[in-house]
Amino acid sequence: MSAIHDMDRYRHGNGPSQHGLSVRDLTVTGPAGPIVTHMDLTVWPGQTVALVGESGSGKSMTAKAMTGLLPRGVTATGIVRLDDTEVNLAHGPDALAGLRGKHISLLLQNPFTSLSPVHRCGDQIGAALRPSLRRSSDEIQRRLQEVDLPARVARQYPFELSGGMRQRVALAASLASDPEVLIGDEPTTALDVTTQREVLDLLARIQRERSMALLLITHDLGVARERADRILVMYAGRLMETGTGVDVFVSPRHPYTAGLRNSDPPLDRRVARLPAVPGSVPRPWDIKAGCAFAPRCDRADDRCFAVEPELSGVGFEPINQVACWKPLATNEARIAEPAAPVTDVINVAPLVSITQLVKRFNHDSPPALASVSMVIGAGEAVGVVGESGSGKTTLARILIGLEHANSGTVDWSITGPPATRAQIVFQDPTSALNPAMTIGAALTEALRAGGRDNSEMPELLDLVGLPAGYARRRPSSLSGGEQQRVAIARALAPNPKLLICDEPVSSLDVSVQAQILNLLNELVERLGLALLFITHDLAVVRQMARRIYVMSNGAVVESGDTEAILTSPQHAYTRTLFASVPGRRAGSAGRPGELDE
Amino acid sequence: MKRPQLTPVLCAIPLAAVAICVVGAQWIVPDATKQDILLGVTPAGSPGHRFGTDQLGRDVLQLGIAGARSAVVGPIFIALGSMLLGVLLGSLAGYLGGWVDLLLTKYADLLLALPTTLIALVVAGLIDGGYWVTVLVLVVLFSPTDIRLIRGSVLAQSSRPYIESAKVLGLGKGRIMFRHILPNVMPVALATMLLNVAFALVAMSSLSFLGLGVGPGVPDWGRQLSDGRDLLGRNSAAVIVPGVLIIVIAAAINLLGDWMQERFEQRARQR
Repeated sequence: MSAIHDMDRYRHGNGPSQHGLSVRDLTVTGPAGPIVTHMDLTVWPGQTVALVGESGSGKSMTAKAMTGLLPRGVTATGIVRLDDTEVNLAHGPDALAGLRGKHISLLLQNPFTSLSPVHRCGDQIGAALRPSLRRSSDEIQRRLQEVDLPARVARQYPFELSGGMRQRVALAASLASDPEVLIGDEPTTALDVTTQREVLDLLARIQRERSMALLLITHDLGVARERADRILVMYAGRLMETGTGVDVFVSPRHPYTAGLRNSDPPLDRRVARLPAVPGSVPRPWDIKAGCAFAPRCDRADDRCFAVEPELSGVGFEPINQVACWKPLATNEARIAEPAAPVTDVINVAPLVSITQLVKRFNHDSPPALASVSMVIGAGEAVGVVGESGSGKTTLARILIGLEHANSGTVDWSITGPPATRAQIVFQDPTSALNPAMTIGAALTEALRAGGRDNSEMPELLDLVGLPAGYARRRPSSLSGGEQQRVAIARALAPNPKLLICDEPVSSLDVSVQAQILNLLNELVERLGLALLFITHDLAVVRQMARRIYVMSNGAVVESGDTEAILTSPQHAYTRTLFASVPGRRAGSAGRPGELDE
Repeated sequence: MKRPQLTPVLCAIPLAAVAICVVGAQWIVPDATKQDILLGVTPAGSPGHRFGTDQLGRDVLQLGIAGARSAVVGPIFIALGSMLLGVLLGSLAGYLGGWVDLLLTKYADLLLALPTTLIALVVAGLIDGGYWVTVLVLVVLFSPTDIRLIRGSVLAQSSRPYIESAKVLGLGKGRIMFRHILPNVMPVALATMLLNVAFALVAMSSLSFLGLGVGPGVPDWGRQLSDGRDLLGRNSAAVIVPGVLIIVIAAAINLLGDWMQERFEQRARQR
């Protein structure tokens, strides 16, 4: 259905009255080389175009180039055209000054840093209004109302508001000049899923009302699929595939898009193994000749490595384009990944029992943990799901000994030094590794901490899928996925009985995320480890845990068998969480693509 | 990106020249302190004395070259010593916290509240200790900023996940401090140390200008400046030479320190 709509817009869009925003032959060059190469892009009024890509794909730089906000040392060439105004980017960033703000507005990811901390919200919205309206508090009230905020917000400072409210203020401010085009650079990435849904709904409503063009930049395939009329997939500064949301994700033609789609964990079932894309995302300037994706592509042949394919039409629809010498056939990308065998939850001996844990950080605020009890069995994979502020990280920190509970007990059924009981893997692998230490030194130290010998290091590296030669390297020379592998190896070095993973894949690219999830599943199986997997992502937890605890505001609201809870959530909060997962509207919880089978 | 590379090169030239003077003054200008009272003051450009002579008939340029040693060596020791104190006490305060932290920060605050030059003046004047006592006093007076800086950096590192991982591995406090935290604090410490050399150079020169620090007859820029005050009308070079030397060297060290600090911050951001 949405495909038909989109085609309508496409045809009308060619008419003289509706130009929208277009960019021709955009090339962005940084100090190290090209960041974006020969990019074309058009957004028509009333249309949402999603620019999807992993880190380093150049999607944010594209937005910055289109608004003349490139950092120092980065230059752009190309033509930006809005209605009848044409701007040559080669004339410098000031060339866009006439368009930016008034006609093209930008909504940024982090509402905490994009709003000024010393100005009241009302003034920040007012500053972007037309001069005649600037002092009008009625107008500011009207603008706040448009983003569903109460009038009192005008007098408040950003730090007095929640993340979701702050992003609404930022949205009202970027809409204040009544722009024809809004560019949202990961506008909901910093928000919790339930808040993300509210903000995206709001954005969609306002866009409809104003018939505004929206360029949505995101790494989240679910968001793109759910919200966009058209999707552009970027990789290493190049457009790989374009098409409608349904086309791109149901029958991707580019092997990269297919890889992305397939490695995104399904919410509706547990698969034995996620189809991961090997390797990691390259930096655009490292690509010499040929297709940027060729080194990671299982279909690549000599031509793919020698000549870069151009974006060209596939199928009947002119908006479906792919830059690939060997595009997939319409149905080829669908991998029927076998579901994991259903295993009964066996009653294993408890490894650790947590009873009525209470943790307060200060007396005025509600407790971070309000009487949480939990059991983790030996060799059992347990998930903890919740949004920020649910207490899930505090729980992990108490369990590992980095924090002390105010009351309650943690009983281990095993003895030995704490280092051999449990180890932890953090979210951000870059800050989890000492930048001044080589990988080898870090792992040696961890092995010794567990009473093991340094000679076991090659074996340890091999366990996490890294070559032994990595011991000599420093963390800064590794990709995010490789760093996370090292962090996992370090955690495994003392032979712990429990591995705690606190959002271990949420800062990784989708194509790398699947590799790490597969690795963790393998390790749990092979080493007989117990796993405590903490995440906000229901689809991820389904792949990782047999039993889950759903946490909200410091309390466990629902717990039990993963399959049972994710098939029919009982608690209202779990249901809200479930319904908020982007790209999987309530009632159609399948992985994109499986809907119409 | 290419622009900042000019800074270290421009700074290195005067600093290298000074380094040569510090090491080899006795060979380059063996007669720097030779007096010729009969000659007395001569203006710049007199035969054999490009920058003239002072009241005692000493060559201004030779004296300037010979003065490099006392101008630079003291400040280097001051910067080293105060950073040593800073690293020692700052990391104790930052890592141990609690009453150790309270005590050390209060101590640093107290020292910071005192006017550096005035205290140095009083102490050096009272015990009449000369050059090295002045250096010691300045080490103590310079240390509070270093203590605070290192304490702050240690605190910033301590909450990072890699330190928490080290704690979870059950590593000892000493090991975490020396193997994990300090190596990551060192870049900041080094850059600050360089900046401190520049400040100490100015402080030492001020003190010798006021008649403290170096003993009489020892070539020193601050003292040369002070001695030359009365000669402004007859040989202005006697003031300009040491003045320009102090400014150029202090500025070069300062710029180099700033440049280093920026580089380290850039690298930290990229991580």
